[in-house]
Amino acid sequence: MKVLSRKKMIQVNGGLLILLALSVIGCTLLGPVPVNLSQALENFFSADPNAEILFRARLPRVLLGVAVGGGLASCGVVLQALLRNPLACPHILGVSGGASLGGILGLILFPVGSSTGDQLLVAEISWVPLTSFAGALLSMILIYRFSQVHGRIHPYQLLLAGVIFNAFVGAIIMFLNSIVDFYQAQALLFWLVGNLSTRAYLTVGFIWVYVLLGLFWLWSHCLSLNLLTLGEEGAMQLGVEAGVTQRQIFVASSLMVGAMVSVSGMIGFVGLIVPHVMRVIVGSDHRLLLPASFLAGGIFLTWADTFARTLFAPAELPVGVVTAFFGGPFFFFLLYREQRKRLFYEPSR
Amino acid sequence: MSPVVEVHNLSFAYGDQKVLKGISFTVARGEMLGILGPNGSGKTTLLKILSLVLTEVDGEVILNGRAIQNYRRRDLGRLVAVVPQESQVSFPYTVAEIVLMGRAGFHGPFALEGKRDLEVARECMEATETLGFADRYLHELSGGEKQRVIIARALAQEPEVLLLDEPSTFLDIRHQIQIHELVQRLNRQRGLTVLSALHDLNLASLFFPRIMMLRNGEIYREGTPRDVLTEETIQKVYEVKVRVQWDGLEKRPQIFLSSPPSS
Repeated sequence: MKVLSRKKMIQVNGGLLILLALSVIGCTLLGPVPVNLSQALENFFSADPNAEILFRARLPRVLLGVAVGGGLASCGVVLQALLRNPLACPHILGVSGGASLGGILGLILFPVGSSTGDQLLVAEISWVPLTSFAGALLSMILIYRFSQVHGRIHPYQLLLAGVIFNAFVGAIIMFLNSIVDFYQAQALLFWLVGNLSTRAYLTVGFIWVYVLLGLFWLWSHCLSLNLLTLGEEGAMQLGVEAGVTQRQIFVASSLMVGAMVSVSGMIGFVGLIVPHVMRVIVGSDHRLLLPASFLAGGIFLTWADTFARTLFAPAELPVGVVTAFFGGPFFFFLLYREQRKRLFYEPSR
Repeated sequence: MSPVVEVHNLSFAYGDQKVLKGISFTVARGEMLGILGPNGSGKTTLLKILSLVLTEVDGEVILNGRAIQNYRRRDLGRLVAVVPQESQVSFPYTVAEIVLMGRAGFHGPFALEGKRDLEVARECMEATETLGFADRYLHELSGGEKQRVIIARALAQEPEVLLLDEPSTFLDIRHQIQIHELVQRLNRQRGLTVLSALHDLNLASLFFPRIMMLRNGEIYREGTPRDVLTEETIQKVYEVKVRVQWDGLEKRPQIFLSSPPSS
């Protein structure tokens, strides 16, 4: 009988880690402007243009992409299991809607500078992460209250609360979008589709801390998550404190989603596609699936963002467009290939 | 030796709807108890209380001499295992993975299954004749195979008490008998205490030496199949007319439905 072994854990995660490291290096070197690596390394601390581009423009962006991609994918994995729904993705928790509304209010209320480009950049650095994080936390509390039944988070209630909250917030955002001036509307749209841009290392570090904390928190529940996919009662009868587990997973993934949306907007498809792909490749045991999805999500988003910034350089695509462009067809390909072995099994009752 | 399950004056209500009204009974170690009663008579509720899914109860439930509310869920999982009517699996898990889930209470959250866990799982799959399809996906199996896998998972918990909630309701007659023969074998060979809720009165009569008949949240009658499965009791509890005949060497009662002639 085949079971998850330490060897398989090490092989899969080690392999993905190597791929991720290569992707980080590769994507940092790739860009519209050719750079000289040896010069950049020599002049690491001085104001050499090569070092500027590599270490102060591209590298932080790539590292941010890894954190956000990995975080989105890991949230996708746990939410699909928690909600027992294959269509669940991080953005289905109304939390990301709340975070975008907060972020957009930040963009509108605290405009700095006159030209739109500067305005966007400065506002992002200063206010947007703060206001969107506040939005995430507020909506988390709200949705949490609505999705509880008898002290447990009820999967369908959570799904419904999230979807409705997102739709409601979406309406407010559209409303705001139509009353602001053209340039602001343009900036909002760019932010909404989801994008990565160069950030201070401080911001990148802040996101990494949230994502890693969340990841390990979720990891500690992986065994329980396996059991929870059998239904709450079944899990309880096998020794899982279902209520505690559900609450902690909800809070941990909300914090991750809030942090990620605050810097990158709503990047779609990563949290939906990567878990499904990895489930086909490594199986459904969350003890392997979660770390593997984190690494694969990081790789996927890093490359997607590299395409986004190089394909039509100097113009830049929102990375959300690229993830959807690759993710959508790939998902159909998977569905086609897996028609016999379905990706998700409906309970027969 | 003290009984493994003791229930004293147990009541439970969903809101204002009383489901169990002060029932008391004990089950000795190694006993096999069949719980009968119409839909809504409280069978499933009782099993959920005994497995700590429902916790807000009145009265006492004592397992192995210790009140149930003093058990940690994890520890209770090593004492009581449950086989539900049917299991839902939302994602593709193999049979081996499902059976190993029964070992979740034996190792830490980050740990993988150890050698002993694998040995126990293998042994439980052998006992339930499921080892042959250990690497297949659960959802690919037939209803009867699936239910044997779930029993293997329950055994992997190394429990003393096995609770079954209408374990063969969705199975054909051959698999119904197969599942009950398996449960009976486990009861005899391992001394497993079995409490099973059933709808099939004839199966209950054949496999369970002791039967408890529930009606509206109370124990209506309790005893051997011959004491409980009488025409009067069944008519009173289920409100249908039946004919009871005693069958076989052990003279187990078997129930025949007498349908009204014109409807």
